[in-house]
Amino acid sequence: MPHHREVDTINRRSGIAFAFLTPNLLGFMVFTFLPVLAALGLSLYRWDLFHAPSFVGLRNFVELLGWYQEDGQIHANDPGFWKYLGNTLFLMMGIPVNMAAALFIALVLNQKIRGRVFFRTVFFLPTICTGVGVMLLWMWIYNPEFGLLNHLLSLVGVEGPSWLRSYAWAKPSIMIMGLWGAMGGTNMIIYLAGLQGIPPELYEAADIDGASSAAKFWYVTLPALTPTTFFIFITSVIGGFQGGFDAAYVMTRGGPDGATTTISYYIFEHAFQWFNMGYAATIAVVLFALVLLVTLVNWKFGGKRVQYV
Amino acid sequence: MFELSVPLRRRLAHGTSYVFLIVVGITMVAPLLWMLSTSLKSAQEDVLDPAQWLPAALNWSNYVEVWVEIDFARALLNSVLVTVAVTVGQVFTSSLAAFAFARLKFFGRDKIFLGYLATLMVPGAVTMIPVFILLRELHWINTYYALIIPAMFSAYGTFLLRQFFLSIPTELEEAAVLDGCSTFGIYRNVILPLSKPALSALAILTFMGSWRSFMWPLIVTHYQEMYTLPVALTAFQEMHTVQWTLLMAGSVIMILPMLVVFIVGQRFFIEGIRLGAVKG
Amino acid sequence: MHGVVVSTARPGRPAIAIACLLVVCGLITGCGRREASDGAVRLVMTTAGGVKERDIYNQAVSRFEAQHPNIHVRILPISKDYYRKVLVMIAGRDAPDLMWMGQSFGEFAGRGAFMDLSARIAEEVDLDDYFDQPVGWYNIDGKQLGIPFAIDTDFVVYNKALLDEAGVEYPTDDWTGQDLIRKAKALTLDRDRDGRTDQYGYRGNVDSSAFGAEIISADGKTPLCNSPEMIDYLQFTLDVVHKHRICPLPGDVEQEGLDTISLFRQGKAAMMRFYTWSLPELRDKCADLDWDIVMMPKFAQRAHWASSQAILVSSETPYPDEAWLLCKYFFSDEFQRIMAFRGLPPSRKVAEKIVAENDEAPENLAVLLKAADYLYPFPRVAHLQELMEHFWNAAESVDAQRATPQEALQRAEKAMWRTIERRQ
Repeated sequence: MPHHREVDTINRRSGIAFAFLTPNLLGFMVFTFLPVLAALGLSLYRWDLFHAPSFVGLRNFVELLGWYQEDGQIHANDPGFWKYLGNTLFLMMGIPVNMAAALFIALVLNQKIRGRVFFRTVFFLPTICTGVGVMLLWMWIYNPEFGLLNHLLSLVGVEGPSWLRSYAWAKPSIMIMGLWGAMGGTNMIIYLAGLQGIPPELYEAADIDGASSAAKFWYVTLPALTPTTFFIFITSVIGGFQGGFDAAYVMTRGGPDGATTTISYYIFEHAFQWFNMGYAATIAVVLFALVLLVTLVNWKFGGKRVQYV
Repeated sequence: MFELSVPLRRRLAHGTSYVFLIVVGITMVAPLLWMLSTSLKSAQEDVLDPAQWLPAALNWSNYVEVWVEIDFARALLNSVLVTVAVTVGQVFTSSLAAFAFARLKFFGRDKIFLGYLATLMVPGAVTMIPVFILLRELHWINTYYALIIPAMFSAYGTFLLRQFFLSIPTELEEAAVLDGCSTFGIYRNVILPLSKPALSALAILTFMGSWRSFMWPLIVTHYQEMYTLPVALTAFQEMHTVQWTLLMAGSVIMILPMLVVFIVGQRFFIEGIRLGAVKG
Repeated sequence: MHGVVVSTARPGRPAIAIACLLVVCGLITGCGRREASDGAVRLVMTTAGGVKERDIYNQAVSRFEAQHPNIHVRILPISKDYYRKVLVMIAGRDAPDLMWMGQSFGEFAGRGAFMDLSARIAEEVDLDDYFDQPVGWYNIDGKQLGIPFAIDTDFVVYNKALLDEAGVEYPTDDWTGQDLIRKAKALTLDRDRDGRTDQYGYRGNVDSSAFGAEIISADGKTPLCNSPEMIDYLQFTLDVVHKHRICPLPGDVEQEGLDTISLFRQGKAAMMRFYTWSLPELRDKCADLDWDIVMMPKFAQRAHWASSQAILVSSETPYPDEAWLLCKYFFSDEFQRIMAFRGLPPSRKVAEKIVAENDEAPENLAVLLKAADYLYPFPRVAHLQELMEHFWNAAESVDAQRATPQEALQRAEKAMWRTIERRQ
């Protein structure tokens, strides 16, 4: 094509491109990009929305992350923050468990058995049904005196714990509910797709070498799934840092004694329960930095181990 | 894949697989059946007894009561309105932007896209507070605008669709250009029809996410008539007593539309997830 | 694949759909807002409570509107998380004109949410008749911000049949904590001998004030929870579960949304702590049970947890005069009488009459009158929520036996200091 016609096309396209882009870009700027900057700014103030804001510089950060010495011991300025960070990380430990379960189910479903679609649909039901309604159901199931779970346990002679009311069991209760909801869900489907994408030649080659089923799994299946695993892991981790609010609010109100308070619930408490807007923004900023850091680390180290088949 | 050579071993493996799948299936479904059963019990019955699986009688009146008394119908309407608006908006704006990123050249394209990617990592909590303050200045608190507009723009949707668009071969578009098709025409007539799986997947994901969305509606809705379903459900947890039968009936009502949408769009949805994830 | 159909670019169907939706949204949001398009004054009032209270408010409002035809009142019932929601409403520039207030009154007052009604009250209301304390609860910095229409308090409900069966004498109003423990022990039974207790002697807690303990000073600037009295109190909550075994779970039973009325009705507890707002349901659902109430037992002192209810006027209302008219109705004698079914009227005259006229369960309704001398409400402090959170965390950790009372209270005290310092 003649040169100047090409240039014309590109220039016209630039204008048109922005026409396409604008709705999304505008929304993105107003509701994502600018708020992030605003949150950074807000973290330097103390503001409760009822009185005027007052500038405090980095004092919020010091209060959140700093420490002081007393009686020769070091005390955190905000022990709650570290505890809730620990809660968040603890809950995230369910991620590998959920992933393994999803993979296992995908493996089983990948065989040539009848009724695959039926089972796949049934397993997806909990994922569809998660939400406030089902959390209320689980509150019921976990009730220490009249709930389904303790009743079933008593049938086999075991006295169940107080689940959501027990400090030790509150987080595992939420994790169990999470496992139920995620086992057969999107991750399982993704794994299933990944499994079906593995070229059969790899298995044939392994067969020729006389590999056992276990060896085939370890040396062919798993490595071939690394891109999928990597993707699922990163998205789960990013989601995990932000999660836990719904369950904390509906089921336990962050208790008992802060056992189920996650960082996002803590931010909510400070912002919309106690109206410490500046401090809440500070926690949010720290959370963001944390997510960025972890994702970068994941990318660097994980990316190296991903093998493309 | 467990590819076994010996027929007997295969049958054994299949047998145990069936058992496993059935057990897992029961675990998945049992709580949901329990929810259904409780929703049909009458309030007088001993709701506290976990051994009773079947209600004494089918109290459909619970559903009527929930519907009428607690203004659940309004909450359902709100949820539908908000979710449909958010889904349409998100699919529409994301596909436009994705098209621009995938097919059009313009100044700073890759840098802007990188910015989009970065925001995927921004926790919702970070933007929540400034957006609340913004909406309060606009007097949008407790209106549909507050529920719909902030949720309509998603970097995730743009990312997903861009990946998909990139995988579509360009021959069709080149042919269309030769036929004198405008850019928007290409978008509308070539790309969109070929992207049905990805678009449906995004639509369904957005639908389910918006239907379930709890924290944001909790913060911005104050009048009972503005509640969406999840918020209305927690409003059931009245200050001093909990009416479990009604609560479960409400939960069932909340779940049904999602179930319907999933069953209808299952094929597209699964296809879309596979394409999106495996190619990403 | 040549010959692709080309059509002239038109805004696609999705665009039209969105446009329609936004128009519809705009219309819907236009309705139901507070535009006084017909010259009438529209007031919005937020209320809490259950269905029965909602009916009462609706009826009261209908009567009021009949008398004042140019004022329309819209009631906003909020059943869960009332205080937080209303605070967010005010923060979101969407404040109601009148608000129901209970124990978190201080949170709102401290944030300047209420109109100063001192002048109007001084002119139009005779306060001599009221119980001493409750009116004072609504006086902050010399400003009278409102008058309550009901006082809420707690009491112990007991199941006469179960006490008769175990040969236990009914508790009297002057009973002590030791009496409670003794009676409850005799009433805790494993009826079917399966190793699990089926009937508990006492379910519930008592107020920390009964031990002479305080949580925070009245001005909200000094934590007082780390005291020997509070340690005794927390120890008591542990003992009822582990030492005396009269109660299955520590802490307040009502926390987890358990149906406490059903528990009582089914005889799973012989004595329970209830609050005045449960009276209607008790009367309704336990009609086939022989029950009565008694004052809270005396430990170091006799103490009844207390809160009160009032309808107060927002400082941001555009219609102060009309709002005051409505507010006045809500603490009138008439309204106090109406609300007496679930609370104690703050006017002594009205309260005595109600008790004298009482002809249904509970027989010992006079408990409410007597409790009026022993009321211990939460302090009216602005950051009560956040401060109480630290205290409740401590109590929970003691209940779960993860910390001794001393350790937990020390932690709570430190946390409270931090919160207080942050306010400076």
